[in-house]
Amino acid sequence: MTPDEFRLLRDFVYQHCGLNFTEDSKYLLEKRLGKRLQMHNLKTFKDYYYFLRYNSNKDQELTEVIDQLTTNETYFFRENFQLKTFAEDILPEVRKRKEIEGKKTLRIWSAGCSSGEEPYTIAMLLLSQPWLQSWKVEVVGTDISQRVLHMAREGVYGEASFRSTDPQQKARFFTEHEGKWRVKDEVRSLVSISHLNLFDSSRIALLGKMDLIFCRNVIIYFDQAGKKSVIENFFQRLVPDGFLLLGHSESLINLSTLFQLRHFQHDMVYQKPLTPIQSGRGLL
Amino acid sequence: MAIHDQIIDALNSPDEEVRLQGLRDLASCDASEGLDLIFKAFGDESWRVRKESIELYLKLPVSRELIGEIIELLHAEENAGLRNAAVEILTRMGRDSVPMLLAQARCPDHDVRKFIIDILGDIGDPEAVPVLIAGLDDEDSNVRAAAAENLGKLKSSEAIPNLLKAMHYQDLLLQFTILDTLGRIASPVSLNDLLPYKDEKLLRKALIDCLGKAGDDSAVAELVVSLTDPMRNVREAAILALVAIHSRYPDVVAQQLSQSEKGPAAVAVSGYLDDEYTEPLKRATVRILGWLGDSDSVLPLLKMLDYESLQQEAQAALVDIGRGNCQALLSTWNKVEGNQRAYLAYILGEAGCSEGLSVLQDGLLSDDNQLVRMSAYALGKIGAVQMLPNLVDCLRSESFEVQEAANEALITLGKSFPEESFSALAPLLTDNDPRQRVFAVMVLRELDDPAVLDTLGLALKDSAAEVRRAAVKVFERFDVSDHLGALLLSLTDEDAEVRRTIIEILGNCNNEDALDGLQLALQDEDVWVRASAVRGLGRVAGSRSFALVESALKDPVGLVSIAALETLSAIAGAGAVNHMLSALDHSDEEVVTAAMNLLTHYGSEDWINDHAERLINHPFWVVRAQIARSAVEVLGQKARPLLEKRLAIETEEVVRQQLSDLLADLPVN
Repeated sequence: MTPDEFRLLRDFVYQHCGLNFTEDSKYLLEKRLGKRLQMHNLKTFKDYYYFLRYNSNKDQELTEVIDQLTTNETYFFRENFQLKTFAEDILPEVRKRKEIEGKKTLRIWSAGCSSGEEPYTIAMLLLSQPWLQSWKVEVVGTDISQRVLHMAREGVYGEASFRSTDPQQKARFFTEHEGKWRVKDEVRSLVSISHLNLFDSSRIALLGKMDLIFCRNVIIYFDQAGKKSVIENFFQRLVPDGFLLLGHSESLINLSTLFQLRHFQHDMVYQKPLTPIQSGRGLL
Repeated sequence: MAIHDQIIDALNSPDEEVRLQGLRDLASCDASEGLDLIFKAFGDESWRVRKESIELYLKLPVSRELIGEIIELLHAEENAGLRNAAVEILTRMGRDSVPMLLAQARCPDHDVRKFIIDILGDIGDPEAVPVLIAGLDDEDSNVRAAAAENLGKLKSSEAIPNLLKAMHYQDLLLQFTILDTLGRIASPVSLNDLLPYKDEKLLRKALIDCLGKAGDDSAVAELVVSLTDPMRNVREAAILALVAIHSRYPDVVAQQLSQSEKGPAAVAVSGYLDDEYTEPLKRATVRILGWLGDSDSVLPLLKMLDYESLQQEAQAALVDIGRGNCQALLSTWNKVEGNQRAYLAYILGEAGCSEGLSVLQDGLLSDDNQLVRMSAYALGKIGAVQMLPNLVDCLRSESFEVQEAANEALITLGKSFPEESFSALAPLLTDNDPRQRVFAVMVLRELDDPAVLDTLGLALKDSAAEVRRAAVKVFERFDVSDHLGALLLSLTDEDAEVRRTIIEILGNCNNEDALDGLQLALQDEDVWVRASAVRGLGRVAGSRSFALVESALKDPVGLVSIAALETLSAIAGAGAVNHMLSALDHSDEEVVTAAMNLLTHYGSEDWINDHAERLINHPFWVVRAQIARSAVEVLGQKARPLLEKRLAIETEEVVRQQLSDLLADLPVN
């Protein structure tokens, strides 16, 4: 892949889904898209770029590109300390507020849910809260890759997805299925899986308002402008006092002052204030 | 005056072509001055000249003032051509000639009286009825028959008593005509009124025909008896008559046939299934056999199912037999095989023969897929709830047709046995095979219980798009107000068909919240979703939806723009003309064509005058062809110069042909 070809493809991918590949990740782009060149018998990445722009099957190919570039490994109960904060600190706070409001609904968005381990983990944690039994609970998992969405909807996982799951939880929430493990229907019934580009604010509006948003280890792949755009969309979707949970290596520093940072025992999370913060700066 | 002399010479020429030209020349002058010449031409020896003279005369403004003179021509017994010309002129003058015809109806010449009655019948003016009724008692038998015949043309039910009275004339021609006329009038006639003629051998077939068309329920018994009449033509007439009277008195016919002595009637009738008889007679025979319900008819009727033209009637007849006598079908089961047994299984279902459970059970286990298919279908129809597990097993058949039939049967059973069906089908929702899950969804979504919306919640989250597609259709059947959130969320489904279905549902639910979904769908990547959203917005009233549809006119894909144009036209009619006019400049020729179509319907002449010159020279042939059609439709013959000009330079054969056809159909002046 020549530097020119890299720039062409990098910009093309960025324009479509906001994924940002820096110069030092050129090898990644080359490795993952190289398979597509072979598939279409194309000689150069420039040919492939033209294929993506002008071929009659370009939409289908773009879906493949996204699948190749966005696939990230994940597993159940990942970053357990944060999940502990969610279950032990955030949920009780949300419960208290909702009970004052007289509402028994809870909506959580797992943005960039990949193959579904995160939204199902959230659903399992919710099922472990007896007080939620009489509530209307909904977890929405979204991703841009259609291939991983199919896996998420199937809800069937191999052992690699259970590296952080204790046997009791596995026994309670999964059934064995042809050598793999299938998420039980009581969990699946709480989770909806949707196809969504995090930059598509109009379609994001279809999700409705959320009480919590999990977006862990996703925005690291975006450049600064892309991150701001995604965070703005999250802000719009959250109810006042709603929580935003990012990955442990991600923060809103230099991105947004719209959220306030909350310190809990095991983790720090962002919260949309009841009234807008008067910083005068908004999104940086 | 010189021209007049030339025309006279021409009309006196021995050459037919010259006389014809003389008439045409007369037409181009003041033809009313040449009336005597035209009248003379009425009696010309050439029918072409007579025809031309009639056309010329009828175009004259004075033609209506000379009706008396035309009637006078009816007396010209030496010139049949002249009389015929007069008949045609008077008939074509229609109601204008009626008063004078009525005044002349009692003239002494019986031929003229008959002509007048025929003309009055052809004109069809009800004013003529009293004169025609009076004609039934004319001293001349031909006049009486003509009066009877023409009362039939007028369908004058007030004449029925007089027609029945006129049956007393010992005049066979008149009696035949009256029976035919009574059939044409088709107002109920009682058998009692015609009883005296029942046994008249020569009249019997005509009487049966008449009773079929006009008899009341008292005639049914006579028609049933006539099925075994010794005269073949009477039997055939009775078969056809019974089918005709069945459309008016279905219960009486069915009851009297089923209570009749079936055997002899069935034997007499079934002979008419042979190939030598006409299709209508065979079709009627099939139906009669069904109503008779004789068990011996099952086999011959099953054979009739092989004839495509008789299939529908044979099937209905077998169902009729099965409804009254299920045993008749069951006793045939072991006498037939292959397709005929499969048909029989189907008929058992259609007839609702629950006694057929046992044979249908066997059918379901057969190696013959056709029989399995029909048995499955029939088990659903007879409400065999105990067969639910077997039908569910059939969903795994290797035959797609068997799967479909089992699915249909399960849907049918679901309507009567929702709880049992739910228990049998719900486990399939988690089956490994997506097709099984689709079947389960198809059955469950038809259950008349809104709670099924919750049951199908998981199916909406299924990994297989075809399952989600099937599941989302459940919302078509119930009020979706409580589920709008779920529907809107499903608009993020990656499968375009799921999104299209949701858009259809949102477009039909007339809910303000649904507008958000429809609005977002206008940005969908799938063109069909966008087009559906546009049409859905058209069904949601209000200025917001109107503005959204207007915005869709700018969609880069013509299909969506066309949907927007058509939707705006449906909402605003002529109020959308400006949008249609703008679309005439669209880069997509299909959009331009659609706009022209709509303008032809909603616009005035102005758009053609302003744009036709440009559009008739449009680079796309479909546009040129459409503007030609539109111009003719809107401007009529004024479109001729436009079409002729284009035809002179058009190279596309399709358009050339169209222009030529349109020009040929345009009136010359």
